[in-house]
Amino acid sequence: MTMLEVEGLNVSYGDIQVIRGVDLTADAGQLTAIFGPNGHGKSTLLKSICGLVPATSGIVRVDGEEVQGRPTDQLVARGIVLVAEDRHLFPEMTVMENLRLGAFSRAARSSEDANLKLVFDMFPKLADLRRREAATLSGGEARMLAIGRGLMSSPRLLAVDEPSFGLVPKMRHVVFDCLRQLADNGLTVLVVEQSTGRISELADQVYLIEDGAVVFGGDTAAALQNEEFKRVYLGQGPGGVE
Amino acid sequence: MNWRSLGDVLISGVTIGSVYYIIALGFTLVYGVGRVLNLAYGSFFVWGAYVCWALTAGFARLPVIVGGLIAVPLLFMLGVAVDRGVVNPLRKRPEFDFSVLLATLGLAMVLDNLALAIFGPRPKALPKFGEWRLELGGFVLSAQALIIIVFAGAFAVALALFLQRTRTGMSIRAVAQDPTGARIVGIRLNRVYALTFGLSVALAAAGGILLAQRFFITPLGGWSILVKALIIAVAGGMGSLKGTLVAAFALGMLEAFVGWQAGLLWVMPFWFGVLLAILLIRPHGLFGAAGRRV
Amino acid sequence: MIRRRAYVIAGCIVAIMAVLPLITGDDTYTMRLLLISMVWGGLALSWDLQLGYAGVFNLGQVGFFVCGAYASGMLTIYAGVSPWLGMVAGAAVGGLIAVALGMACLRLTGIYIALLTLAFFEVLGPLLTVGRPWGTGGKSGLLPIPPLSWGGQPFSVYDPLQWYYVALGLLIVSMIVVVVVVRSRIGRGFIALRDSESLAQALGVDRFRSSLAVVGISGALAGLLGAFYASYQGVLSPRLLGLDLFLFLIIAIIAGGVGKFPGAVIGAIAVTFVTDSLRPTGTYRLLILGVLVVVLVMFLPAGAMGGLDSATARIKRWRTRRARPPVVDVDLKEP
Repeated sequence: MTMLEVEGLNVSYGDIQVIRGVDLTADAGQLTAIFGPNGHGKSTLLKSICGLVPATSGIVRVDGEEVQGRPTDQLVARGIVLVAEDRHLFPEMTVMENLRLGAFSRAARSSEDANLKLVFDMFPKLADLRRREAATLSGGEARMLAIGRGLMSSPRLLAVDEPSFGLVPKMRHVVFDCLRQLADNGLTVLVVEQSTGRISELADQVYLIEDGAVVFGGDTAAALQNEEFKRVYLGQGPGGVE
Repeated sequence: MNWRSLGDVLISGVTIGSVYYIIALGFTLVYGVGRVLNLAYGSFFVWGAYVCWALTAGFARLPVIVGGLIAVPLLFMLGVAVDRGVVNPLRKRPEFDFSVLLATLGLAMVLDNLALAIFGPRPKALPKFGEWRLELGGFVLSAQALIIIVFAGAFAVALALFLQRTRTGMSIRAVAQDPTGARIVGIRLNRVYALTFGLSVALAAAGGILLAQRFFITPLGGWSILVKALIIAVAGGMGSLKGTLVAAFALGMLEAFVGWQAGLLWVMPFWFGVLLAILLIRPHGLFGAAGRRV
Repeated sequence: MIRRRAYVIAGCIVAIMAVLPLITGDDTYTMRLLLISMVWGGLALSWDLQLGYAGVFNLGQVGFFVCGAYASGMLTIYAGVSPWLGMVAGAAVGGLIAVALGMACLRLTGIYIALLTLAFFEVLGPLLTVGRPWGTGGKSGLLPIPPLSWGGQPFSVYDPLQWYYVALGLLIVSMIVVVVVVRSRIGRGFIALRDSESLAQALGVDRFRSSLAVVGISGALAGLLGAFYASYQGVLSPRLLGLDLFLFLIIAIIAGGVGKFPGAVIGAIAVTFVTDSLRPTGTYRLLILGVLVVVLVMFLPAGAMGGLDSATARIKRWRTRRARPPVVDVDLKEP
């Protein structure tokens, strides 16, 4: 059974419609990349799937269960976790406190210590920084912390918004490899990215969002053959190729 | 200079300062977490004292400590109910800040006049905790003062531990620092809001009970407390625990001093002057930063 | 932004108030109620200008009213100044103190403004009480304050008719002032700030300056009304600074519709008569008023004028729905 099924999702901010009739599926063990120009709704799509932003209509089904409209804490309890573009870390708490709060939901509490070990294995730098206040971290460190905190919530579906933004190329590789590894371990991973390149190599399937609607959706091989996809991305300037 | 009196004034200042501290804490808490300017805060303060009075001298005859230990949780529950019923429903409105100001104002009216109707305008006194005194090199420390300082200190320490060490306490700090981040990790905002409001009311009530050990309880006595709590919170830097501590004691002592030298009527003008000075010189308070810190 | 019908309503209020003395005739009690409701109407309007239009959390408006009242009262008693000049002085004092307070806090966020103005409101009473040696009359009050006079004859203590029309005049002045401010660049600046703070600031709207102007003007208006009040009542006391008047005005503003001219006036008139009819309930009156505030804020936040707005909007929607021509279904995606 598909882990994530999105059907006919519509999201509006007031009078402005941001997401139009999006259909999307993703499976456990799959890394799904979502591309698209800035401001066309990719972040909103993730936020809506993870319950941070209410949908006007449409269905979001996780593991067969309809979750649209449910409050965020219920979604987190079901393992649907967002790592937001703006990170939203707790600035005056230490790295350790931030991570521990990641395991706030009851479901994640029992695996707290195991998850912590996982996070430190994946991001050894975080272990060194554990006593530092989150506000003092650099951009890359903060992003690692945000992903780490997301992992503390014991996700089954991890949605990551622009994980590579502001990172040096080496860090980007580390992060992407981690996401690939997580998918290989059985997680359903959704990644929103602005630039293609490495991530499209690692992804199992790719979606292209333009103007809030799905313009292309299919596995990566097909994407690289698709004219639309190539036009939008490989024809692009600096941001297009890594 | 009468050294004996100065000593009394100092002790008085420290005593009051400790109560001001927990009252200011309660206010800072609810503002930092829920963004609520609770104009009914003073009324809850008074009600804490009245409920305790009702249990100890008014309708029942329980010992003061028991009365206090019952009254504070009762007021906590009242606070939770008020948040759920009045404050939280207003949150979805864009003009929330203003609406909550007005709603709590109305609530203050209701609470004040309910107290007036039930308990009457005559000042009430809580039964004294004990009659014993402590003599320290010429200075006299009454049981009242000691109890106040000890309990206020205990509340403050308990609160700090709660916020720093417990999961629930951390969730409150999380919501204060980044509400969206709190949602992302699965914290229920509404629950935290209600809890924090209840906690702040409980602190106000505790302050009211402690202060009632020294002063009479009157239905409208809460307004000056509200203003003072606000001023201390601002002076210390909105949300800084350390700043609030320093400000509470400093201003408590100064107030005692002013009252002694210039007379009680000059106390409110003194507070006003302090506020004016702060706003003109350093609006962020002693330890305040641009962000909030709980 | 003031809709045309608001002017019509305001005009009707003035016209009705102008004509009412003919109907009430000998009923001086009702006339006094109407009179005082006009004073409160002007005061509520000046407060609504700050709270509703400019979004300034000024909690000390009653303080400016009282300052103007005392300034005028003291001048007319001790310096023998004519009460008419006293009103000018009251306006000046009210405005100056408002500006002074504004300078101290308007650059900061809402809570600081609320705090300082609340503290000011709280401290004014004690200050007036300790000010006894300086002529404020202390707790027992300032009296007797000379009444207004016209052509050498002081206004009658028993017949409120002359007072009534002066109050009406002040109400008109208040309305005009509020309308002028809202329609001025300052008023439009606040609308811009509400829509988009950054854009407005980029266009040169200075929130601090605009707020200061509004607070100063409202303060002057309050002081003017206060001076009139002082002369009308003949006596002033710090009890004006109790919560009665404060709450009364808040209810008037909410009931009329925050930021919806001339809602505050409607609210003031309504609440004057409602509280008068609640007199028999004695001490429970404030309790009922408090409940009223909470109920209004929670369920009727837009007040009377807001109710009018939504009613007319509903009628308009109903009308267009009936009049709409049949829609032709065009498929724009035809290849």
